[in-house]
Amino acid sequence: MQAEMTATEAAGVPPMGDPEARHLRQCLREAGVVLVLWLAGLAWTLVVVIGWGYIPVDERPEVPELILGMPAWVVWGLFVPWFLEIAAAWWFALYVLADDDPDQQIDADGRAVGAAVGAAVSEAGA
Amino acid sequence: MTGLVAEVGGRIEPAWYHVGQRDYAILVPFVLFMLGVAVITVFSHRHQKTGDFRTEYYVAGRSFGAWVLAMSWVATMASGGSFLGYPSLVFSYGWTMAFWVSGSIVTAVIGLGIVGKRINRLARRTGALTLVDLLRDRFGSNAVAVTYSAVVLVTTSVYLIAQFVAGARVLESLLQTSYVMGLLLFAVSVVTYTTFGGFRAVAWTDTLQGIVMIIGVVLLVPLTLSAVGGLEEATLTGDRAQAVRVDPEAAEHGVETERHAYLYPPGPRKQTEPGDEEMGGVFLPLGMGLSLFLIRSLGAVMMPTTVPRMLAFRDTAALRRALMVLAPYFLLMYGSSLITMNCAPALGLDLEPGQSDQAMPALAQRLVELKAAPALLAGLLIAAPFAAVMSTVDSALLVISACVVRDLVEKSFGVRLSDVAVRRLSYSVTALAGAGVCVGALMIEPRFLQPLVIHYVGGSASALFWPGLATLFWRRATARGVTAGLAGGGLIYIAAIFFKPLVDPIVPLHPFVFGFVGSALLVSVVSLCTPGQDERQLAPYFGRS
Repeated sequence: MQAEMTATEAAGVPPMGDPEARHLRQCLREAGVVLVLWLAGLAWTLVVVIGWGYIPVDERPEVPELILGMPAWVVWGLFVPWFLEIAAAWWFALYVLADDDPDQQIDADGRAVGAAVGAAVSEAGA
Repeated sequence: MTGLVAEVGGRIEPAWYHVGQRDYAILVPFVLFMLGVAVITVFSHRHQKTGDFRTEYYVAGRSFGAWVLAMSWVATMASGGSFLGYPSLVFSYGWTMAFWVSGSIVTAVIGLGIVGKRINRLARRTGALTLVDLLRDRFGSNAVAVTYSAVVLVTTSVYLIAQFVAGARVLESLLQTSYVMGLLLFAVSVVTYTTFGGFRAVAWTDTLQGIVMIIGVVLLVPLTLSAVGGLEEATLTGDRAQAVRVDPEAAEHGVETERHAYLYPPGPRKQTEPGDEEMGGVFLPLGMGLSLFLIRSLGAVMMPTTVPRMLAFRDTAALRRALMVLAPYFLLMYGSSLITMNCAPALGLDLEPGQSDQAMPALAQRLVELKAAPALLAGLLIAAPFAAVMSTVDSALLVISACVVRDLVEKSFGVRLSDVAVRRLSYSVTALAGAGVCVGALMIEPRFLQPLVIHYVGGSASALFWPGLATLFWRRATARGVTAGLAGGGLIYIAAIFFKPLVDPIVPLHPFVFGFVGSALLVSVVSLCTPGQDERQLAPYFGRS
């Protein structure tokens, strides 16, 4: 018995595993990792800056705590997370950001028709 | 008026067009830099004659490699705000500015990692030359395209005025001339090369400018530290250790400066206009610091001036390498300014309130006076902020040109134009936009450059962030939802600016936060309340549901 077509199949939507759906999933996964890195940066900065930087005037130490000539809250709240985020960005670029063939041509129904010509697509669109 | 001088109120003053700089050691590096820009423009203009004009003028044939993408992106992102405005605020408010810039620790990964690959692929698939092309194609709606274009035109114009002011101030300082002369020279040079060189000239000059910028700002660090005797000396010696560094605003109102006000947030009192009866509150309350973290990070995602780069890079490998270059670039850029400008007061850089946007070029000249830097190097140091301003202005002018010619005239209003007509119209709009902004910069001279820059980033992010992300990632988004998010985000932002004095005592947040949240709500609620798109329309963007 032949199965009934789904609404999307009736509408001519490409089959499972089509390159656009795969590309979208990949991009969403990468965006999720970026979101985690962003939240980590925000949390670290806020904790250090609130705890170490926003000190009421009468509670500030007589001699400010300095590291390398900078206030300690600047080093721990800005420069340390910055170095960590640089390392994380490199990790993201090297191990998370997956290759994508930007010139892959896709037909009107979203099916891949092999590597093609971005410039031609651009010109056609223009 | 006779020759180069004029008599003003009994005093002899140089005419507005007088150029007083005679130190050729300072002028030579600057002139060489400008010659480099001219050569690139000529070369880029020749490229326009070989391929499709639109693809070449607006996305440079989608040919950017890693270096051009990285330098072009960062040079556009880092404007006069980063190289004049931020240093100016560090000079005025001290180490508090570390929190102000903290959102930049994730700017590169946020700016490139979320939307870069997605925009690039969809633009190639649909032949989009601008993000508006993409929106129109996704939703089949002119309303979305026109609303998006309107938001981009308004925010970018405000931004351009700030940048023209910055460019004029650098030339005013470098050439020792008047503000008007600086503005005219800046406008003529940047508008000319942008108009005739198009996106390729902009990207290549951005690359040159990005390199000049970082060399200049990083070189200042050892020179300044050497001149001041070390960072600890600068932070602790003299009046800074006792935290009695004069807070101009507090002093004017006879109020004692708070202890260590320049070392800890929320910093000293905000500087208001001279003569204002109201005294400014503290500079950076926690809510405002948090807002700035959000603006400086999330604002990079859909910024109108940087998004065109996402349509122009070659492949994912270019994006990957660009991200690796950019991650440390921001640290070098802002970290260097934070250190050098906290040393500047100890070097006797005594600028009047309202003149602190000159702090960066003034510091370079001060180092030459102290014989801590050769004059030739000072020319390069001054060229750095100028390069930053130019690289932002050229991109913004092209954004306006693309918005008007491509998005509004050709696509939204359906005017069919020949290649020659598009070429002429593009050149004319770019030049006219430059001239219009130049007039605006003559009429408006902001006290601080940086707040205007933050308004651009915050305002555009309020309106564009969620509609942009919804277009790219959310299949249930609808034209009405995205239009509501665009218009609503922008309007809420403007309303929040006006109601800020009322809201501040309760929650001292930047207007961006209200616009950003409001836009998210509008995009999601209106989209869910309106019929979704047809699956066939969605398939090229999202594949099978």
